[in-house]
Amino acid sequence: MSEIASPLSAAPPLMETPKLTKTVSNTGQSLPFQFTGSGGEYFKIWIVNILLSIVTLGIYSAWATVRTKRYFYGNTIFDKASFEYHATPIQILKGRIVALFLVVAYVILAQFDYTFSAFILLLLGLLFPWTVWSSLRFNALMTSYRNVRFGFDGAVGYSYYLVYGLPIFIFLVAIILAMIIHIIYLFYQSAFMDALLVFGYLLAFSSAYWFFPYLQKLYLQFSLGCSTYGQGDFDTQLSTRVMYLIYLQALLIALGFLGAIVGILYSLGYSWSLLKELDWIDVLASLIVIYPLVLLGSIVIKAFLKANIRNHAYNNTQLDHVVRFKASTSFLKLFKLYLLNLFLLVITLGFAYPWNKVRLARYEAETLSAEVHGSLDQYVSQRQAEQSSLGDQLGDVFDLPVNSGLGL
Amino acid sequence: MLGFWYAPNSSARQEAELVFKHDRYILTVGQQPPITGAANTLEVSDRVGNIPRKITFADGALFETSDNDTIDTWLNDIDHEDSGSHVLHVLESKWRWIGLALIATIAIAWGTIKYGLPYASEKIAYSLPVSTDQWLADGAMESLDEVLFKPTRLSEAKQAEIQQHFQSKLVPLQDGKFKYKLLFRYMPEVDIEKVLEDLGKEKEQAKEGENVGTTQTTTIVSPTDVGIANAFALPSGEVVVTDGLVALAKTQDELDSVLLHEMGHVEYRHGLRQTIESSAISIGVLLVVGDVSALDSILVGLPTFLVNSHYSRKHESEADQYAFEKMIKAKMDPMAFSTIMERLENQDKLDSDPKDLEPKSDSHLSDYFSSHPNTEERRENAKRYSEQYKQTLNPI
Repeated sequence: MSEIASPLSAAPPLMETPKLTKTVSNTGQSLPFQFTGSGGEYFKIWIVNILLSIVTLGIYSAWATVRTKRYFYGNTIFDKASFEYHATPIQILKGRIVALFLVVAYVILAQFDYTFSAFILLLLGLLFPWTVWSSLRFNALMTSYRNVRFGFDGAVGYSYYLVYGLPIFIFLVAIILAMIIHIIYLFYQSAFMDALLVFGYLLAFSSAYWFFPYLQKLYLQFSLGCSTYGQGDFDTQLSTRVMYLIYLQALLIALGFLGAIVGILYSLGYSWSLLKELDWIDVLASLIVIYPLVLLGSIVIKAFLKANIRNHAYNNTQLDHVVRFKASTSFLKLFKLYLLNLFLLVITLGFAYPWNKVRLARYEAETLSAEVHGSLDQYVSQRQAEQSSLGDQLGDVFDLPVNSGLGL
Repeated sequence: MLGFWYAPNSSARQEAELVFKHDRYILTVGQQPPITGAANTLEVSDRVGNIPRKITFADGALFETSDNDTIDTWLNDIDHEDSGSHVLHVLESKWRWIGLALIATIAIAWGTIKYGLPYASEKIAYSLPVSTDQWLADGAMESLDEVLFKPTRLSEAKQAEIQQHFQSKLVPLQDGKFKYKLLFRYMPEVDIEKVLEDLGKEKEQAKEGENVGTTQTTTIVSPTDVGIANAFALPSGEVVVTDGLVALAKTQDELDSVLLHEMGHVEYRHGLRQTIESSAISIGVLLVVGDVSALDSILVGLPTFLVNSHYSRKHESEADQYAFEKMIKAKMDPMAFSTIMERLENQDKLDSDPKDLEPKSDSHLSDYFSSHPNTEERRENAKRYSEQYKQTLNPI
């Protein structure tokens, strides 16, 4: 939700703390992150942003983005220093104009000409890994802490490998295996081979799903682990086992909700054989019962995944051997927060948005701390090539997940 | 004021004090002797809320402080080049400006949606050549035929009769900008029970190994079945009536009234206008909310949908009015339109709700089925025009 606004998510994780003591302590010193913004203050910035964006036909939205980011970065404090967002509105505006041009072309063409819109989709598909890479880089470069810039030294090729190379390879391997089973099956048929064949193809065509936790692990190691702070390198080493465990538990929760829905339907007197006698009114009535459950289930699962993955990612991330992160996001607290935010958003017709965003940012900071071993004084900004914001803006406009995804 | 001083490009910091004296600054870092310089060599970050300010020195060193008010007062006093951005902060911090901004935002949004956008889309649509409308409809009939329609079951004679009447009586009532074409189609009812039954049968057949791959799921219909009653026009001027509607119409006037309504959509360029309006709304929403997450998008989607249906209803009323005017001109009683609409609605109430058969994207299809809340209003309008019509018949 607040992915864009908080430096904890849009940019590499943060840093460290000084203490001019020369003696290197082994235990390190644990320091909290803090968020000092307030909902009322951000509401005022937000409403002015909206008004000026409307009045200027959207041009001010680039300034609005920068002010919003600066508000959230600037209010995120670690060891008496705040983060800073450096992108200029003009930089954002340029990227946005190109991105918007592509969207408008797509929206208009999509209404009548399939060839052109398919072409644009193809182009965007090819550009997507570059967009991810470019956005990670842009956001890192535009962030500083204690006068030193973050950076990103991941390779664009690795982004293509993650988005296309590896998934396609896995799919091909799975499909070839399934085909080998198929060939054996042609000569040797049995109930067991029947089952094996179905299972093989199922596995091949669902590779995108069962492979996902591993891909996300690699992506996090890429987006967080390839970040830099000055001459310092971030390092993220995640456990495949933990990632799968998290998703397995989420799957169980999802099955639990599914079971509850089926149970409720059943207790309302429906069964599959009755389906064709159902009246539309009955279907509508059961939807009214089911919809809140589905919504609730999706919020529970979102909170569960966000909290656990965030904890695992930060707890296994460090900057050189100087800063170790510690995240203690609570699934239940996060779930309550999401529920409260949704409720407030609905009853205020959207005007609770600024308070919601601040509430999340505050929780995000509260649950993050870092242990500093030694001093943070030795970091020095590195020269990095100037960077266009097009990738970042493309990602924004198409609502693509172009950051680490760790924002709450 | 107190803060941290950072060496150029470095994260090393020391506590420091920065003091302003007119257009000079005096910087004292730790125990070192003070340094002084000209204020206009400093670059001061814009104020946003109360976030710490960054003052960058010419050599790349940085001074970070939370003492926003001292900085702003001094920037204004010496008229520093970075003081201009202060205006935004004033706007963002005074409740009276916020109140104004809030009211202005709501008023502008409302005014744009209610008047601005419809007006603009009308102007734009009318200034575009007719070929734009044709382009818009290009290929649409082919896709609709694939998904929704079957060939008409009307007799050749009946088709020729309606066709002849359409071309000789209704088409001459239009400006002649568009080339009208009347098409007949059969629109089958989709019966959920039937579909499920067929599915069951198919499974059984598959089990028995019979007829695999040749399953015929086409619903067998009695020859009296005329399918769903519907009519719509594509922006290109292709007007489509279903067998069901032809059967529903008891008089020629009733059928004509529906056809004229559809031609009204074409003449008023509603397809094009709807395209412009919905694109503008989507882009506007995108610009204002920027980062919508999946959860929020449900909340954004609903108002967008409501606004689009509002425009659609408006277009329907315009097309109604168009039909009424042309009917009076052609000496037909506008009540005929109201009569057939009511019959349609009654029939609709008997059937189950076939709403989900409608392709959602084709919002310019006139959806006679959805029980418009304003059927009453439509009847009232028809009545008003009918009075007018009667007056033209018997001028007092």
